[in-house]
Amino acid sequence: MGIYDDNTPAMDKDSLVLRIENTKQDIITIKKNYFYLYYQDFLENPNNTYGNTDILTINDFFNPKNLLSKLSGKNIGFEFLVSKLRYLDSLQVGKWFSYMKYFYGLCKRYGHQLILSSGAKNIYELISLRTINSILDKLEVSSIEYWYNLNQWLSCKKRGMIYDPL
Amino acid sequence: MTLSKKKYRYIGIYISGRLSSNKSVILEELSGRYLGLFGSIDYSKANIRIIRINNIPDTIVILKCRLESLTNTLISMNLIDLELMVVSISGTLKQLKKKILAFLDYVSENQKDLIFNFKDS
Repeated sequence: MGIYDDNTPAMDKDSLVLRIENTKQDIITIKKNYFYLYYQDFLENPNNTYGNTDILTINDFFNPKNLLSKLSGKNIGFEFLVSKLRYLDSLQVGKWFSYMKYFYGLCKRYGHQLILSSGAKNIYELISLRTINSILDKLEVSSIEYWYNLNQWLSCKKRGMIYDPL
Repeated sequence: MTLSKKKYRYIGIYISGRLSSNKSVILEELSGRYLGLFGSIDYSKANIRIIRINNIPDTIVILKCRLESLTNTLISMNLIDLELMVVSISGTLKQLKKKILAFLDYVSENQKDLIFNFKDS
């Protein structure tokens, strides 16, 4: 998700999902006919979350129970960026794994989707499917179940017809 | 009691030109991260080495590790702050070389596209 190239052939459009920052202002995009989702960096206050946000990007540790229960039924994707872990010490990475396990359980309970994203800003931060599956394995999450649920979640978001009308 | 043969995996890594002049830093950083996350017992079991083979460009590094430790090795590798990318994983050097060559062909054809930093859409 999130990589856009002007040279992408039209037939590849269905395999791309654009990620657009939700700023509450009217968003005008030129990404013609691409399927896109609105994301927002989560700032520790559910009141700052706009109604049409599809993905909340989580950058810090906080107690997520209230947030997830408050947003219950909205089918939000909670995104964690693996690239951020490169700059944490091992103790913090360990804490992240334990936090993620807890977060995944809450996502299941309140009907949200956990999204593991590379967060890549350059090619060296890209991570392979095998690595994502390795991380899921450490989180004791079945990779088959994770990819199936993610696919279902995306299909569900697609049914809302959020194609760019321009 | 039968002794089963230890299985290994070879990991092909694409590194930046800057890193190619100092490959030993990869193993240093990787071992530091692995030790911090999974401990010294697991690290010594993983038996991670850099493999040197002929006819491979400077921007490629090949690591060897025990199959049982592949998951931990990949996680550690992706959580270090170095300009590297896992290109392929294989059980034999022959297959790995094949995949690396296919990747390098792709890189040479798309050099320009691989250099830029991704823009947020």
